[in-house]
Amino acid sequence: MASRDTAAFAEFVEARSRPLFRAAYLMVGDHALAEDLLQEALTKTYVAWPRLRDVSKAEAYTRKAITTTAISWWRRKAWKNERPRGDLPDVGRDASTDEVDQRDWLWQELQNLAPKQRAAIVLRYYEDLTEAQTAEALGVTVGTVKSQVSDGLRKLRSILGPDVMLVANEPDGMAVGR
Amino acid sequence: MSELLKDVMQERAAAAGGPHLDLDAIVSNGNKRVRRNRVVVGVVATAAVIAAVFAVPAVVDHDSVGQRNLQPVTPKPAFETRTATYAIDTTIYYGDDPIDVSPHVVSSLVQTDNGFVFTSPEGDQQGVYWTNAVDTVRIGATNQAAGTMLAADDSGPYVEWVDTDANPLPEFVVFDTSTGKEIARTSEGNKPAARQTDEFELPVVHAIDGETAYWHSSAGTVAYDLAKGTQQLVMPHTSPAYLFDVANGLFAHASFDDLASAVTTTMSAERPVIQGVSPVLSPNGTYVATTWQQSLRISDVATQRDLTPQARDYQTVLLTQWIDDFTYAAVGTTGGNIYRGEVDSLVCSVPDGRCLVENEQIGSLDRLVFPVGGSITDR
Repeated sequence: MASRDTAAFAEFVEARSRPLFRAAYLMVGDHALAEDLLQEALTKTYVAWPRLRDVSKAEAYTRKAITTTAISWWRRKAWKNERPRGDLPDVGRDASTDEVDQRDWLWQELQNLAPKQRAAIVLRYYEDLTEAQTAEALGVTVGTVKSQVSDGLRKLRSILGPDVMLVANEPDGMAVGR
Repeated sequence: MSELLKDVMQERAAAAGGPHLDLDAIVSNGNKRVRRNRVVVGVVATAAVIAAVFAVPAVVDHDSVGQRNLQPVTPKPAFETRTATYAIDTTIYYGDDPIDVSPHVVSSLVQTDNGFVFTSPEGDQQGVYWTNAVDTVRIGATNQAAGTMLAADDSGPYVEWVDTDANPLPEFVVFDTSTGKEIARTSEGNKPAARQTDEFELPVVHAIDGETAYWHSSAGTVAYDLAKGTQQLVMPHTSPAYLFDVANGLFAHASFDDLASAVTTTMSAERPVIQGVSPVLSPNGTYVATTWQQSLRISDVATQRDLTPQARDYQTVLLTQWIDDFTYAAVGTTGGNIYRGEVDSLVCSVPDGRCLVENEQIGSLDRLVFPVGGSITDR
């Protein structure tokens, strides 16, 4: 990967575009927008390709480009962080009675989180990145990652109720139903 | 017990399927950006190492999908636009473009029209590097003891620093990023480090304004004409902390009044006085930013009126760079000590009188590096 080896880049795209696309989709919640986002992130990766040296570094770089570009797009389009919703389930409602609704609702609420909170949660709990890796992808400190994740989970938890396990090892004082 | 959030994300991700990507478009657009970013080095006389590093990609830069294009093109410089920019560790965040310069950790940073120049610790000194987001090359070294490590204009290709370890005397260096060449290197006015009796004799870089570079030699404040290669001692025996900025022919310097600055057409003039210290002029010299009562104040240079935009909820704001003559990037904190907590990135418009949040909680000031040529906390 010392030069801009297009064949190697094409190989990388072929091998890694699907998981990268899925992460992009979780961040923006829209199939076409996620494709645009990945296309742009891969273009940035192609430009940086000679410096990336190995595939794992290229993947981390693409993930970083997806994240920073998504946040930038959100900012420019002034997307609303919290759109009002009239169909929220009651807090404390028995999840087992309406699991499908609960999952739909959680997906919607994930999309309603502030962009950086959503990105931090996707990177931490879908991509399984460490806090340090998440901080690198977001261009922020580990402390910021902790607060973004904690705030995002708290927001979901405040409406979902205390009895549902959102993720294992939630930040202290948040998860109840274990 | 299942983890509901993880389960939902995995289900939705799986249901999203795969992307339809246009690889030809990625490569074609990528090659356009590479050509736009890459500086045509051409004939490099003084810096052979730069020529070697830049020539190699030009030769091996090939692709099987897009069209090969080795024609030297010099359209609009790739980094002419200024935008909210900062660096953390080995990454420069230029708007939404992360520029990876690893393994070099960025310790100070400036922007030129042809890329970023930064310093990175190397043992007991700092290497000076230039990156255009495609290539990163070492262009010098410095070990300046105080003041800004690097200085550049609000636009243009030049950057300056002090080669402190040059033998026998420290040398001022001006580098042109549009050609990849040093265009000035001089020790005139300097004393050897061992013979500098106090801080008034420290060589320090100040500012570049068009075709003139300003620095502080052991003799005082110097203006160096980049076109003619001549220098003039504009004010002898000054403190290296006297001159802060030069833009559009205006000097922003310290005032003898407490907690004040002056913006003047000659360095020796002391009026009019503007409230606040550490003055930084907008590119055309319409406004000047100062630090006043631990926060940012924007003053109209002509009238000295306070025109600081409202940054609602932000108790403390610091300038990080002028984006154009009317707009600047800043960082702010809504509470507590700005030097300890996390800061938000802001973009403020003086005519509009308001600031917008660009990015929340980008980090703490002890880790962030802004394009001011040194530490923002030293200003």
